[in-house]
Amino acid sequence: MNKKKWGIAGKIVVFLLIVMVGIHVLNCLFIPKWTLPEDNRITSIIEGFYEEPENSLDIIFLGNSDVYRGVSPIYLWREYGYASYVRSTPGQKLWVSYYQLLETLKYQTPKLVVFAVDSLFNEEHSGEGNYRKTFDPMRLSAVKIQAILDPVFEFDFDTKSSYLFPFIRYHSRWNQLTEEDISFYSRDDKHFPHKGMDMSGDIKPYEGGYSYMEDRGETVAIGERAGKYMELIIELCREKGMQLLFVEIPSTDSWTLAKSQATTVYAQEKGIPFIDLNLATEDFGFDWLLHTSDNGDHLNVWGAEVVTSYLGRYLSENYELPDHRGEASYSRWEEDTLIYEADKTALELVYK
Amino acid sequence: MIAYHSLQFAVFFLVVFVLYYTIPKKAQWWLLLAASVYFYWTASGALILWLLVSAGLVWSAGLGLERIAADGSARIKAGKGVLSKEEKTKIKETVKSKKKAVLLATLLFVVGILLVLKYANFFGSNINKVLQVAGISAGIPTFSFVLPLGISYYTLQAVGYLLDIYYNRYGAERNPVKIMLFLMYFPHIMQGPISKYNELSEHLFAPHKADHDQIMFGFQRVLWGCMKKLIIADRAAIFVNEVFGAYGKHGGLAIFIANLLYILQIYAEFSGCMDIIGGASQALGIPLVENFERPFFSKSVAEFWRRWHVSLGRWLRDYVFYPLNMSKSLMRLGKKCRMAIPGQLGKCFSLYIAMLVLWFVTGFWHGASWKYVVYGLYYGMIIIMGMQLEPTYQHIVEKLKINTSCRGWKLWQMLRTFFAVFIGMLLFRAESLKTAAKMVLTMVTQLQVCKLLDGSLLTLGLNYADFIILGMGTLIMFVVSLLQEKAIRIRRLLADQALWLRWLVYLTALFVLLVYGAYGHGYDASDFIYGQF
Repeated sequence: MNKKKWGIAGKIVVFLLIVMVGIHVLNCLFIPKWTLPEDNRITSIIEGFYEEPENSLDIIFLGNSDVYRGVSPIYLWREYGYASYVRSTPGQKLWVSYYQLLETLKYQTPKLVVFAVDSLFNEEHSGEGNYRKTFDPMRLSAVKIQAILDPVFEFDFDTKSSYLFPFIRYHSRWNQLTEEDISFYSRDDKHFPHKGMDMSGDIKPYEGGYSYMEDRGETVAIGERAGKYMELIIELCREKGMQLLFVEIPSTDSWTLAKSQATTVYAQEKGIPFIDLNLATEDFGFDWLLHTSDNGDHLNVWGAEVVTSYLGRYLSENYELPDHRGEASYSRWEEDTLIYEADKTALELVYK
Repeated sequence: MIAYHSLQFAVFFLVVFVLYYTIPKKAQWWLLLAASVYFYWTASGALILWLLVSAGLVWSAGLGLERIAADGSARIKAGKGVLSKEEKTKIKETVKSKKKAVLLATLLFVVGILLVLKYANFFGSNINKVLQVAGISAGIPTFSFVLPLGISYYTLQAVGYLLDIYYNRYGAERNPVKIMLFLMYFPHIMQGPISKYNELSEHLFAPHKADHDQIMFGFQRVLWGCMKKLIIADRAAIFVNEVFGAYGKHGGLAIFIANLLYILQIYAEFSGCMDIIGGASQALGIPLVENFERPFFSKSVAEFWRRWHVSLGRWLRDYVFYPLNMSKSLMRLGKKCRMAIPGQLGKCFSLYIAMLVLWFVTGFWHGASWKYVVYGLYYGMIIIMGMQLEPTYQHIVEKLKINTSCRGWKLWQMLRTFFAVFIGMLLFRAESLKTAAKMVLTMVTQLQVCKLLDGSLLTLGLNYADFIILGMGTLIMFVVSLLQEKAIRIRRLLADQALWLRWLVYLTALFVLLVYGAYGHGYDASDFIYGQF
């Protein structure tokens, strides 16, 4: 190439770079900021994950809304010194969990993955809103692109483009932009003290007790699509030397005895331990009248602490996980604990 | 189908563009053929066969016509000095009749495909109605044919090519693949412009070196076209669809504004599409014929149609109007009428007949229903009335001593033309003739100007901010048209500016398009209106 051609090529590159920067700014500006409780604070949760120091987390909780409402990483820290984070988004399907785990492993080297299994029985796609809440706050990376292009999502060309460049989806918000949209990504502290937990103080009892777990003579099978991605998660855990634990958090909406039995068989086949907290085989202090925020579908913060207390005991008895309390590099966890407690107290004042 | 304003087309075109300038120049048109086949296939799948059959037939008919003419000439040449004048005339007549037979047979097939696929139900239902009146109940069934992409456009191009060969305007193409590319060239297959083979082939099959200015101008025009389509047309469409979809619910003012917006929509959309494909083709070094020449500056309906959908008008003029007007039978009729009918009517009677046929075909080409026929004849009648009343009109103007060279008079002429187009567009957009009549009646009897202030217009799909964007977009489009009308070459003007200023303009345009374009969620982005023809 002669000098003139190099000059033109250089100009094209610079122009395209400016366009790319402009598109990035548009993405940041136009993606909705899901920071409120009604949006499950999902943007804050995902942003907060990226803020965690690399390779600082030992446990990753994976699953759907049952997990971010039913597990309290700060409780686990306070009681056992375990560093964990909940990597769950609303209606998270198994194929989403797989990519969430892949994305997690780019930043962390957990020793244990705790996977909430009810999505094993769900082959249906999530609504667009749920996929959006998963992908839009996710950083642009090879994993994100791989996920968007994965045929499992059945995205057409335009949808794929809009996940890659979310402003395509949200550009019509141009007359609804707020101060928060402009300043959100430039704020100093993106840390999320609740570590992926969506804390709820609502108490809306479920009065049926454990009747949802009665034997109705049904049989269920693990879905083909979900099964395939479960295998990929198991394989990934093996490959990376991570232990995998199956768990099912109490949920009257998403769980049945048939699912529990099918999971038990599957877990035994795969040699993966499985704890089903819906079976009520022992009294660990859980009460459907006090610990659910929406009549049995999800747990409130007090329910989450009861469940986490049980899980913490189980983990301490069955795994060798480090207690980081007192370590200088984990000092921020102590501050997070104080914030968590203050937030919980505030909820107690309002709801209890 | 890959819409020209979609991201898919952008990706497709960029791939073609990069390959086009990196492969050997001799192979460039083969790449265009492959790209066109892919483009067509993604839209129409196996229906591409119709196009291939038409291309094959047109190619062989072209060669046949040329061979018949050459054989005739050779026979006359060989018999020079031997053949009598009568024998030469006989040979010429034989050549003419053979050519006519080949032409008619081919036209019957090529146009027949269009007539059957697009118009069978129209003819069928009308025949059924006639039979019903005659008391015959046996009816022609309704068909559900899927139209191959761009059939109305490539058929006209094929017919134009054949007639040009028939009239010996240029030689027949020997390579059937070139005819195929001429018909299915991806920038013009969906919505035209309707090109002539001799004009397009000159550039289509020639090797092209990357020309900085052509590429820059091409991409600028693509961007401008996308802005017209996405910022103006698709935004206006929201209001238009709402009002035209339930005209009974809305008052005269809403209908009036909806029709104004429809005119804006169809112009921004159709001319925007021409800018996108014209720009894309220009970036490949292949200029396409212009389809719009700022029609709203027209001072008469005839001028409007010379500036609106130019390539269709040119095709109809060259292949329908001229042959008809110059035909022996119409010439004879004209002669008789000039003697029998006094005045302007007698002078122009045969011309009026040819014009009525022309406008019938124009209307019918737009769609298989009486509404479109009336739409065409409406314009035809206005033009004929204009011609017929021209002497009287001139007389009045002279008597009133009107200065016809002043701006005010020209503005009046433009407004008068716009009013005629306003009604024409209402006919075009309304569901049926009856609906159009009701809408006109509502505009006249229930205008309800007060609705302009009570906020009810903001409940029809567009909010205040949308109207502002629409207004600004329209203003920019108007200023650009005005500059073009004054022969100012905007892209050249821009190219002469400093790099930072050019980039500022490009980037601003790009980001304004990305943010304010009425595409994706929240907007019902529509395909181009003329894509269905």
